[in-house]
Amino acid sequence: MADTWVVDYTLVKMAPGKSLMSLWNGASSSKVIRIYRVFASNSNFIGNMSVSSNLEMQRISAHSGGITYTPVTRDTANAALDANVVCSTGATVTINGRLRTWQWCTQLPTRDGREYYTYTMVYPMTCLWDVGYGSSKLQPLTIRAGEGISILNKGMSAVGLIDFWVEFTQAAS
Amino acid sequence: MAETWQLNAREIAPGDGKSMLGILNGAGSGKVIRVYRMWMLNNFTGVAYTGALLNLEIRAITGLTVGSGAAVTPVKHDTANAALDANVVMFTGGTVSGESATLIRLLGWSQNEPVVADTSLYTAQVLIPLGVIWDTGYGSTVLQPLTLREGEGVHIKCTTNATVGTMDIRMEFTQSSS
Repeated sequence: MADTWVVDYTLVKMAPGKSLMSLWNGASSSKVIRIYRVFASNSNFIGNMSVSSNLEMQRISAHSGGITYTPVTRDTANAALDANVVCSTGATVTINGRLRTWQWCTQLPTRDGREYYTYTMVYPMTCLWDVGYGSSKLQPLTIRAGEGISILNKGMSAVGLIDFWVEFTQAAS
Repeated sequence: MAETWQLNAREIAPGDGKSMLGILNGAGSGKVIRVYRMWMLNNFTGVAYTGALLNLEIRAITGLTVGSGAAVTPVKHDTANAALDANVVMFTGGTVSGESATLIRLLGWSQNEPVVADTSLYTAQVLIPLGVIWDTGYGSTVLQPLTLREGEGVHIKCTTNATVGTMDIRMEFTQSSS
């Protein structure tokens, strides 16, 4: 097995044109990061408002700034994560390819809800990227030094909260 | 194959700050516990009640005692398996220590009794495939499951001030010597 991490980007605030989440493998890193799954969930019950927006997952070729989140290792016996690997929200990024676009609504879920924004708090329904997971043939999203991914809020939404959750590995090659 | 257990904790009432279900691989076990999957299911069939939206968290821990809670006994997938090490403990409502400040996963839950012929989320939460809350490493030969070495554990904690209703939580885990 490869050394595995998960990172929970909790309580991410929406804003127009914002990089809501990013995972960056800095140019000085000696490691290769492989992203297996990415989830977006509506788990926050504080102050969410009704806004629909297009979100887009992108490859990026530059990254700076933002607020960082700490990944959690899946096994405390793993080597430390390379210090050049950064998980952020609100970073300034340079787009280098568009991977996937989807619709998202930040409306507050309700106990009696039947709407899609309520169902986006159900974990199996929140997976937005799983290429390579469980397959020995397909490549996961491979992030070499000086590369990363970002999820961009393409709309004008300035209210509401969203959680992201990313599962990735670190290897020497 | 690794020796596998199924932990089925029934009718757990929520509570603000309550450890709904925890598992600890206590010091001295000589074993490694790997948690492959977890579920939360809305199996309530009692008197109708009005619940609430709940937030729950998956967090790492380093200590777990029964406190005012209750032990839960896991079931072997193969009766030929060796016994589970006595230092591996599982409690609902247990007393936790050494909880990590870093969140592993934030969860949302609609707490209300399921209703026949209804499409609300709390009714959909009776469906086992929709009840999965953790499956990292399941079916993958590359990704690590949640690995609990000696002195390490994990629990599901309720962080919403609500006490009505119950839920079931299941964990699927293995025990091995390394």
